[in-house]
Formats: sequence, structure tokens, C-alpha cells
Amino acid sequence: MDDILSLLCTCVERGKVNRKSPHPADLRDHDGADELTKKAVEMGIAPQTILQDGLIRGMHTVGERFRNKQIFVPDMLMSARAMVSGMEHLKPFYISNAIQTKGTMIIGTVKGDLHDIGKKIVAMMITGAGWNVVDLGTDVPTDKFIQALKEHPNAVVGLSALLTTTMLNMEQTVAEIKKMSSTTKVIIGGAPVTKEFALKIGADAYSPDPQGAVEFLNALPARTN
Amino acid sequence: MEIFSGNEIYRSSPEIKPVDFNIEMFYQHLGYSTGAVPGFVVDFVQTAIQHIPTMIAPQWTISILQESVVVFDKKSMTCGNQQFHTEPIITKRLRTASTVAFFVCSIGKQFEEWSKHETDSGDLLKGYILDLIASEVVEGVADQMELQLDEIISGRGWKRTNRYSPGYCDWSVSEQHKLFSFFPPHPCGVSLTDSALMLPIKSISGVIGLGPNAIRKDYECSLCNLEHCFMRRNPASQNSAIL
Repeated sequence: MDDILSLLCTCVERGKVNRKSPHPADLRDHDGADELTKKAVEMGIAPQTILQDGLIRGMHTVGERFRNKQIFVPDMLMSARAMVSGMEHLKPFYISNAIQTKGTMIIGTVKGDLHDIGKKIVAMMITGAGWNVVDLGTDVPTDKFIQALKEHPNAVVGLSALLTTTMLNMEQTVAEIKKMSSTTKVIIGGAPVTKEFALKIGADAYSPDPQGAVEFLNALPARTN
Repeated sequence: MEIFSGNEIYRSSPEIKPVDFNIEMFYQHLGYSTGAVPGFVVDFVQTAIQHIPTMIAPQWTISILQESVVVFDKKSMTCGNQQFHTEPIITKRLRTASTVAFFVCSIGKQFEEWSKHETDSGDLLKGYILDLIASEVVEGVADQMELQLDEIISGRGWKRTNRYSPGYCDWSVSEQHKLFSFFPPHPCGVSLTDSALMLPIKSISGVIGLGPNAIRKDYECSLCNLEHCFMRRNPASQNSAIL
């Protein structure tokens, strides 16, 4: 069991999606995360174990390597692609509750801002860390965050902005969220955003990279969706 | 050349070829050192840049102001009846000039729509690379615009400063609305949202100081406080440039 999970973990770390994918060259014609996850399920390994000890463990290493500048965004996205191919085989177990997520993250780019890719990369890494992600998209008004929070009352909220004008809209969104639920944690990010700005507007955390967001989430007390 | 509100307006639609794309610089911006770029990145970038000629519509427009209407102080620049809060870092560098040129550059929306399509289809890797290629290409258009500006001003005995854009070095991006007032409506087909976001997104606007004593310096990322900017020429900060 450990062998297949270690192989799965390696495939995620190295971005080996499936047998036919040519990358990485030294793993050509080897099974990828796709086939290995399927095999692990067929072997009867607990889905939660496959997720935690194979896919999430792999993505954790990816996040650390990214932070340490050993790999770069394209490598991270290739790993995420491998992770997603594996998670496809685990989807039924989410529905049957055989897999429990760590919690829910509501994420969106604030009103007035249409930048999407960075936020999606963060969402993908958070998914890869075992969280359920509700992505509200871009140009998201405060009331849409509030509505999502009503549907997922224990969720953490992540706000993104890429403009100095739109980062100001974070302040109102954070204030409204805290007014509705003072215990809801809010993390913010985006090129012009700083730790000082996060403190000023009452956000709970700031991260310049996906791994920081993952670490913040994983440090929170366990929560239900 | 045409005149708009007393300003000289110049426009062009330069030709951008795949060979103009500085692929080594692009890989550096992604974080990779020479020879260490993964094959899947090389393969996709090589394919994508072949679409540059057919999927971008490069344009630039320049508005050169008369010297008599431009006044600098320590933190701002007044152009006619518009005061720009360019803040000390930029103002200090513009003050070597006697007038300014505002500019807008764009590559149109087709390339960014391709990126969005890939992203929305779930292929973040392709979407991300296409987005960054588009950013590099529009910077290349601005570089070409600067060379053309050199030709325009060469007969006047003028030199130019670096280009500076709202949103950088403490100059608020909200002042794009003022900047756009120096152009006929929708220069290069670019419009502004209420939050001063340019549409198409892959567009650049800004100011360049002009005059006999204008000083251009080497690229000055160290001036800017956008620590996680993807274009920052400091490899130590590149990994975070994704939000």
C-alpha cells in the first residue's frame, strides 16, 4: 500500500498526469497519478488515505518547493493537473462522505477587478490541500460573498485584487463579513496587497503566494463545511 | 499626426513577429534559468508564439503636450487643468523633462480571450502561460512605441525619460481617467472601467518625460514597491508573482 501511495505522491510532485503524458521524460511510459489513483481505489485503500497520503502529500511538497524557488508556477500547475486527474477517481467518495474535506474556502476577486488566473491558481492549491473551494469568480460584490457565507457558515473567505483601486474594495467586503460573523477568517492577496494593508482593513491574514494561504488554512482549528 | 486639445497625437499599428518575442527573457520571468526550462513549457510557448501575428492587434497612441502647459512640483505634475499626483519617485524623474508624452498601448483582446478560454476550460497551465506571453508582447509594443517616439522627437533636440505607469511607484491607478482625457475617446480601442481597469486588459498606459535635459536610466525595478510584480527584474521575488 505504501509503495503505490509513494508512487502517487511522486507523480503529483513531478507532474506526471497519466501514462501517455510525455512529461517528465524519465517517467515516460510509466503510470501517472490518473492510473495510480484508480489502482489504489481498486486495491481497496481507503479513499481518505489515498487523498491524504498520496495526492495531498504530493501537493504539500510542491507548495514547499515553490516557496523555496526550486520550482516555478508552470511546474506547480503541472502537478496540480496530475492531482486533478487523480481526484477524478475520488469524486464519488466525496458524495458518499467517505472523504471529508478540511473545510470550505470561499474565494473571489473583488468588485471592479477582472483578474482571474492568480486567484484560480490559489484555489487549485487549496483544493490540493484537501479543502472544498467555492470560487465566486471575478468582479464579486460584497453581497455575493455574504450570500456564499450564509450557505457555508463555517467557511474561510479569500479575497483577491490586482489593482490599487480595487484593493480598496476589500475593506468594505471585510467589514461586512466581520459585521455578519466576527469569527469568520478572511485572508487577502494580490500584487498590490501587503501585510500592512491586511492589518489596516481588519483581514486576518495576507499571503503573497498559494502556499502561505494553504499554511494559514491548515493552521486553523478543524471545521465542518 | 493630428491635434487633439492642443496636443500632438501620433498613432501606429506596428507589426509584431514571433521572432520579436524575447523567449529567453520570458523564461527568466517565469523563473527559469537558461537550459532549465521544462520541455512542456518550451513546447507550449513555441506553439503559442506562432499565433502572435494572427491573434494580436498591436497599437499605440501617443499624446505629446506643449511645453507651456506642463508644470512639475515635488510630488505632482500639472498638465493644463489636470493635476497628476505622480508622487515623489516618478515626479523626481520626470522633472528632468520640459514636457511629457502620455501613451496607450494595446494588443487587443483576442490573445487574452484565448487565455481565458483555456483557463475557464480548466487548463490553468496554458491559460497562465498565454496570459504572461500577452503581458510580454504588450511590453514589446511599448518598447517599439518608445523607439518611434525617439524618431518623432529627434529633430527637436529632445531626449526622453523612462516610461512610468499609473499603479506603480505610488502613482494611483485611478489617475488613468485623467490620463485618458489627453486622448480622443478610446485610444487604441481601450476603454476604462470605473476602477480604472483598462479593457482589453493587455494594455499599458503611462507617461514619458521629454526635453533637452530628460534623463533615461536603466530599468529601475528597485524604485517600485510592487514586490511581487511578475516583471520585476529580481529573481528572488518572482515566485510570488501570480496573484
